[in-house]
This record gives sequence, structure tokens and C-alpha cells, in this order.
Amino acid sequence: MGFLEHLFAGFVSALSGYGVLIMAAGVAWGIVGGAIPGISGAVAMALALPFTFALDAPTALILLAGVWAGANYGGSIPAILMRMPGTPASAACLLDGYVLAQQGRAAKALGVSLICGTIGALISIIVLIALVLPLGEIVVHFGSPETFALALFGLTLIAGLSGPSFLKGIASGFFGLLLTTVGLDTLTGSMRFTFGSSELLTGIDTISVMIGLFAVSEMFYLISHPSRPAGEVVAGKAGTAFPSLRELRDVGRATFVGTIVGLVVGIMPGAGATASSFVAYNEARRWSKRPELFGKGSLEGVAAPETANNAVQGGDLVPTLALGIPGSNSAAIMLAALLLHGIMPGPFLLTKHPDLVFTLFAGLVIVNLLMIPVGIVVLRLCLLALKLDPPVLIASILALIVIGTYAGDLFVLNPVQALIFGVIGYGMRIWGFSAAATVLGIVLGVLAESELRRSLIISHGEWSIFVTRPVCAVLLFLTLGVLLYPAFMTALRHWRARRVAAAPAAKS
Amino acid sequence: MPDKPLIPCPVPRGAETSAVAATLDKTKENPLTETPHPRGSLSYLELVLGAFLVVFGGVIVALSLEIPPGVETDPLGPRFFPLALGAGIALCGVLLAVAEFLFRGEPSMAGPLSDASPEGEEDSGPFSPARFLGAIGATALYIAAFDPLGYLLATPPYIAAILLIHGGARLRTLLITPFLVTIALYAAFRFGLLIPVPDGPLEGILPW
Amino acid sequence: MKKRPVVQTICALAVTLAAGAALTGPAAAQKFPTRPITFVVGFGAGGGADVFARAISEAAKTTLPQPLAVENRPGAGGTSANAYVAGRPADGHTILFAHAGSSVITPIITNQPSLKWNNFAPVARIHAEEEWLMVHPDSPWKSAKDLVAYAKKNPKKVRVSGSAIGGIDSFVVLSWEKAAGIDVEYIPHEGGGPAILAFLGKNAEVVVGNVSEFFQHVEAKKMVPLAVASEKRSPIFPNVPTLKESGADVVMVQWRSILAPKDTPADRVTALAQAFRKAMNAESWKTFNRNAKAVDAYLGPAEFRKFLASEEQRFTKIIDELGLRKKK
Repeated sequence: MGFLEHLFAGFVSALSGYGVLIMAAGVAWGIVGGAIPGISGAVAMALALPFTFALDAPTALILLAGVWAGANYGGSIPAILMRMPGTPASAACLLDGYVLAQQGRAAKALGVSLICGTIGALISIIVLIALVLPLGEIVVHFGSPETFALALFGLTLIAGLSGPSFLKGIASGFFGLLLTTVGLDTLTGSMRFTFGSSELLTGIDTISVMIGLFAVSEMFYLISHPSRPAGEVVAGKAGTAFPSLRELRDVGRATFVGTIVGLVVGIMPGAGATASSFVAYNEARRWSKRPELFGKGSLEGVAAPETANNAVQGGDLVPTLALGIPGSNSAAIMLAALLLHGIMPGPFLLTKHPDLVFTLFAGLVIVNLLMIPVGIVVLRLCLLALKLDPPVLIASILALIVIGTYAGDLFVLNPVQALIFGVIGYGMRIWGFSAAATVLGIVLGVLAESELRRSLIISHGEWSIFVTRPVCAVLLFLTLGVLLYPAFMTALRHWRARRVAAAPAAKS
Repeated sequence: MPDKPLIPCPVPRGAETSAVAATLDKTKENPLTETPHPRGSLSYLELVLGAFLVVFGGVIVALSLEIPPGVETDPLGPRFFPLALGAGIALCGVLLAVAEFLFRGEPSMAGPLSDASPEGEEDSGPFSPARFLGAIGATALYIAAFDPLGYLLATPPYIAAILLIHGGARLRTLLITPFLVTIALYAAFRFGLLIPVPDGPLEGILPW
Repeated sequence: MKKRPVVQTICALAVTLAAGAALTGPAAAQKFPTRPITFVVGFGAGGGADVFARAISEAAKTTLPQPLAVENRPGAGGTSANAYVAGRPADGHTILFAHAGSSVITPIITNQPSLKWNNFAPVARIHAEEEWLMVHPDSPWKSAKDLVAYAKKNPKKVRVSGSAIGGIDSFVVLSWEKAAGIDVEYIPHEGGGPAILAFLGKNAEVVVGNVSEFFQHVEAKKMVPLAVASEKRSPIFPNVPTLKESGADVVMVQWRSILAPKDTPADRVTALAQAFRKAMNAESWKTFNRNAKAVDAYLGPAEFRKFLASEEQRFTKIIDELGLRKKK
């Protein structure tokens, strides 16, 4: 049977029976789960896992694929509406999404996130279907040095997130990096900053800290500044106008950048959706025609990270299907579902169970197409929440944050972290530090530290490993360029300005 | 000192003609940019913040030296990163104070996203420490009561407390909303997502 | 966002109420279990512990009158689940997943004796997975002895990829270094998957880990088994010698088991243990074990308690030798 016949059979199998209904239910479940703070895509999939026992293996897979795709989008809803990242991967999109919501363009941001995210996911799935085996060969060449170089590349964004003080931005970024060192060190087994508590053994809970820094601090800010028209700020004008075609065309470039970043970062085994969304945000700004709008309500600033974190799905599945090694927690749950259905995942999945894999491929395409209608229904409902009285909305959000961060791990220390970092985030905001830079540090900290140290173990302590490996060298060269380019441009502008200033003087 | 960001945008800022740019002027508040203090005067706040960073970085460095080396130590070891970051934060603090002395509040060390938003947060009301501490205290109590009291008993008083602290809610809202929100969230988590929400003393009494 | 699941809620509510009404007959009071049993797992969904718990729960559906519901409470290296279960009513309706890491090693390293296995009632050890050392197909070493000979001459030259320090993988290698008198470069990773990827990318000469993750790579001729850290040769690759045969007495397997809160009545513990033992005959469990490359290693409550005591002794010694235990 040829490739296309397999794919056609996959579509037939995915659409047979209650296929579409199950996928739509999965997408809806995923969007709701992703939108609840603290419930990540992987947790939403795990919660759906018991239901898959009653289904056959292909149907179970497409159900989980639906939850996965839905959760990728769902996280951006509270990020945009309430400055509350539903999943870590949606933290980058609130940088502009929440500003847009305050400007009364919430529905536009949500629409861009939905449509661009879907485009990114579809492209990445198509690339996956076409190239899964060749890409599988590439995966193993992305080792620790390459992932470290990617983390450095991503960290250049600190400059962009700095706010009024560059120094405070750097300090904020360092603080974020420092937070990731808390807990049991993977590489040596030593305990760092645990202060004798075993609760801190596994480190800080990323999503709880993010929610604390962004959302809890915002709620505290709204509560403690009484005369501010709080309702308007949280709700925006509850603008329900979806993005126009023109606006969608305008974010095309950012969508393209986001897709590329998502694909590449997705294939790299160490990095994930969250890292990709921040890198995409930075890159989209660099390549944008209107970089000055970033951070002040740019639709591109929503499109790029959301496209990237959805486009990671295809990349994540490359090692999962080609090597049987999950590319992310979500992919691990897909493999667990297979194992529980009596199918052994591994490098032979594609040759031994082509029907299953092609049903999954077809399911992924259909699921992402279903995202648009299901997503529109859900986001319409979510926009209704903004019609609530401001105090009621704030109280509900705080209660939701506590139960949501608890529900992810059923661990009461997670809401405690959200509260502590809510206070810290508040202080950072008042005194001009950048919570966003701290979050960036948290996202890239483990990559930066573990991969750097691991690279040096691999190289027997030789730093030359970073320049002798081509992919790594290219990434580091790019990072250096990114750092030096602005300084070069400033010098150039200075020089031009002096010439322009000198010219009229010479004439008169 | 020229009023120029240290690291400007790679692309020169051009004319903003779109409708998007027009809305910029109406930006209420920007989470990325914060209120700059008045230029020209020495800000003691900045000096205090610089000192705080130095102390914080110093504490981190001191704590990092206590980290046990562990087994199979790699060339850098578990102390390297915390040490470097602690020192980096302390250095930022020193530079912050020095810059304040030298430039007196000129935003010369600003990042590229900072140059707009001169209006700051003028439309926000004065800071109310009572409300701020009240909100923190209520949330802390709520989280502490979350496990022992159970979700259903702990949540309504919390929501009522936040409504009271925030103010502006009508009496009817104050009496009804806490229960509605509690039940809605409970139902969504307990029966929608099938998550075992703590029931506290109600465990065994509830019919499920 | 919070309005969406209302319909599901009503349905779930109706179902729960109906089920509850059906079960509250007078006879139900005598029997155990009377309601679904919560199976607490201290690790996230999708990992080895979680998949094990779900598979045995599925198999136990046929041998227990009530279903088991897996509840993931990840955190603190699995021990936050220990703390939670320790505080649950000891009526047999809450059970806990346990392996060497969560019930022995982490509590010792962090000095938390209250979270160690002996503050729980051992129910049953279910299965075990062997730890293997694998090399590249073009590797110059054909046996563990070749490798040891090379490593002795070239200290710190052989790179071994595995999961984080403090896990079973790292203990296999660290004990092997001691037993064979060699010094290799251990490259710890966040998990088994990344360790394999690093090995496949030729960033390490040897990889150590669970056979379930390796098996298909061996079939794909990307890995060659060198030695197994078990008591006797494995039925999976019977031609491959044990580390013991090669002269290094390293025996370490990844066993997975079930504990209950400390004062759970003995008859209920026995009832659970027997139910699990029967569940291990279920077809679904056999398929799972075959795919997971695990071997059944059932021990009833009494033998399992003895086994745990011996494991604790063994690991305490290793941990102290490595100096991993936190100072008081």
C-alpha cells in the first residue's frame, strides 16, 4: 500500500463511527483544560486517559490528539483575557494579548491566537507526515550543546522585556534563572536552596510561579488601587469583533516566523513549546515591520508565540514516532495510551502499525480543523465572563487560580507559590523590575544550566565543543549577531545623523 | 547624556500610520513598562533598590557556597550557576546605584520597549496598603484552610472577603455570589474534570 | 471557561447518585471494598510509574468488586504522595504506588524517615524491570570485561548516559564503578528518553536504563546489550551475561509495588494483595508486561516487608558511601 493510500485509509478510519464527535469532544475538553490555570495539556490528557480504555487504540489516540491540540490553544484564552497563562506555553502571548484586551481588542487577540495557532499546527502536522523518518534521523544530532545554544539565543529576549531599566531587566532575568536551580540537582544529586524542606525537592512549579507573577500580582494591583476603573481594565471593552482579513494578512509574517521556530524547536528534544513561544515572540519582533508595537498591543506579538507553541506539536511527535522516545510530556501520554492498549511504542511503530500511525496523522489534521469551530464557541462563552461585575470577576479569578494550581498536581504548595510570587510580582512591578524577564529566565533556566554542564561532561571539559559542532556553532553565531547588530545599527545611525547634521551646515 | 536607549530596536522606528498605532495613545497601562520617576532628581528609591539587589545577590552567593558538591561532579558543578547569578544580581545592584548617581533618573539605561507610555499609570487610583495586605492575608488564610476545611467550606468566606476588600459590590452580590462561584467551580472541577477536590470535614457526609 | 462543563457535571452527578444508591444496601457494610479505591501515584501521567499503576488497575477490574482510580500527585520525588497517603484513613480505600526511589532512596537522602516504607503497610510487590548496559553496534567492547579493561586504562574516558543522579540508573553505574574499580564519566539526564537520545547521537559510549525503553532499539540494531544488573541472566536476552558474571557484584532492578496507610487492617491488606495476585493472570496484564519487558515479581505482604527491609539496608550503605545523604 502506498503512502497516499495509507493516508486515505487513515482519514477513513479517523472519520468512521463517532470519530468526529470524539475528536470534537477531545478538542473542547482540551481547550477548557488548557484554559484553566494550572492544568497543562499533559494533565488535561491524563484526565482524559481513563476514558480511552473503553475505546480502541486508534480512537483513543485521536481523542488524546484532540485534547492536546485543544489545550495548546486553550492556554491563550485566560492569558489574553486575564493576564493568567493557562499553560506555561501561553505565557509569551499575554505580553501583548493582555494589552490588546485592555485596549478592547480581546476578541481580535483570541481570534488571531486561534487562527494562527491552527495554521501553525496544520503546517507542522503536514511536515511531520511528509518527513517523519528523515527528521527522526536529525533529532539525535540535537544534543546538549545545541539546546544550550538555543537557550542562550532565547535569553537575548531579556533585553526586549526589560522595561524602563535595562539593569533591572537583567537582574529580573537572573532571578528567573536562579529560581530554576531550586531543588535536587539532576547532574550531581545535591540539594540547592531547599532549606531542609523535601517539598522543594522537585523545584518550583513553573506554571504556579508564572500565574503568581502575572495574574495574582495583577489582581492584587486592581484590588489595591481602588479608584481605577478596574472593570474596564480587566474586561477591556469586552470587544467581540474578530480580526478582519486585513489584520490576519498583517500577521502573516509573524505566523510564518512562528511556524518555523515552532518546527525547529519542536524537533529539538530538550526544548519545548514554552521555549519556542518566547523565541518566536523575539524573532517576530525582530522581523516585524512594526517592532515598536510589541509589548504595547501588537497582534503579531500574539500570533507568533501562539503559532509556535501549536507548531511544536508536529515536532514533538518526530522523536515520538520515529524513535519511540516522547518529545514532551504530552507525547509521553500518547505513548502511555498505546502501551495500555497493548501496543508497544518504539522505532517500529510506523512499520508494524502503519494503520494506527496514519489514523493518528489524519486525526491530527482533522482535530486542528475542528479547532476553529469549537474554539469560536468556547471563546464566545469565555468572553461572557468579562460581563461580570469587576469585583466578582476578580474574586472568581483568584479562587480559580487557587483551585486550578492545586488541581494540576493536587499539591497545596502550588497555590502557596502562586501567592508568594504574586506578592513578589507586585513588588517587581511597582519598582520597575520585569516579571516577564523573570518568566523568561524560568523557561530557559534548566535548558541553559543543565545543558551547558552536560555539554562539558560530554566533551570531557573542553569548551571547544560549542564551536566544533556545526548546528551549535551556527546558533551561537546568530546569538552573537543578535547581540551586536543593534549596537552596530546605533553606531551607523549616529554616523548618518552626524553627516546629515553636517550637510546643511556646510550649505549655509 | 542623550535620551537614547542602550539597546535600540534593530529596525529604526518609522512613522506609525495604522489604526493600531493610533490606539497606542489610548493605552491605559502597559504591563511591560512601568512608571519612570521624575528626571533630574536623585531617587533614593533607586539607591535602595540597588542596595537591595546587592544584599540579595550577596545572600545568594553565600548560600551557593554552602551547596554540597554532590557526586560525579561535572566541570562546572552545582554551585557555578547560583554563584554566577548571585554575583550578577549584586553587580546589577551596584551599577543601578552608580547609574542613579551619574544620570539622576535619566532613562539612559532603558530597554527598547520602554520609551513610550509617558502617561504611566496616571488613571490608577492611589495605592491602598490596607486593601493590598487584606487581599494577601485573605488569600493566605484561604490556602491554609484549603486542605483542612475543604474546598466547599473555605471558598465562600474567601470570595466574600475579596468582594468586601475590593468594595463596590452590592449587598445582594455579596450574599449570593460567593456561593454561586464556589458551587460552579466545585462542579466544574469535581464532576467536569473529575479532580478530587479536598472535602475536609464534609468527606463522608457528601453523597458522592 | 468555568461554564462549559455544566452539562457534563449534571450527567456525572446523576450517574454518581444512581451508583451510590445502588450500592448502599445493608450487605455492602460487611464487604471490602465498598467504594472505589484511590491509587495514589507520586509521579506525573505518562511516566513508567503511572503506566504501571494504570495497567494493574485495569487488570484488577476483574478481581476487585470496586474499580481502582489512579490519582497522580507528583512532587518532591514522589514523596509528596507518601505524605498524602500517610494522612488518609487506613481503611484500605487508599493505596500508594511505591518503588525504590519513592519509598526508600528519596526518604533516606532527604532525611525524612516518616515518609519511608516502614511507615506504611506493605501490600505487594508486583513486577520488576531489569537494568541493562548497552553499547553501540560498532563498539570495540564485546563484553563487560572488555569495557572494564579499557576503562581501567583510560579513567574518565568512557561516557555512560543515564537518568538523574539519585535514580536507579545512576546507582547501577556508581556501584559498578566501585565494584569493578573503574572511573567512568556518568552523564545524567532528566529521564530515560533524553538519555537514549544522547546515546543515539553518539554523545556517550554506553547507556544504562530499563530494558523496556531499550528493547526496540536493540531490534532496530542501534544498540547492543552488554550486561544486565540482575541476579541471573534475563529471559529477554539469554545470551548476555550478568554484571555479576563479569566480576562486579551489582544487582539492581526497578521493582514496582503497592503500599497502604500504616494501620490498614491486615485482612484488608491480604484481600488487596490476593486481588492483585489474581489480576496478574489477566490477559491485559500479561500483554502489558510483555510489551513493557517487565517480569512478574510478586511478593505477598509478609515477604515484601522483609524484602523492603533488605533494600533499605542496601541503599543506605550505597547512599552513605556516595555521601548523598543530607546533613542533619
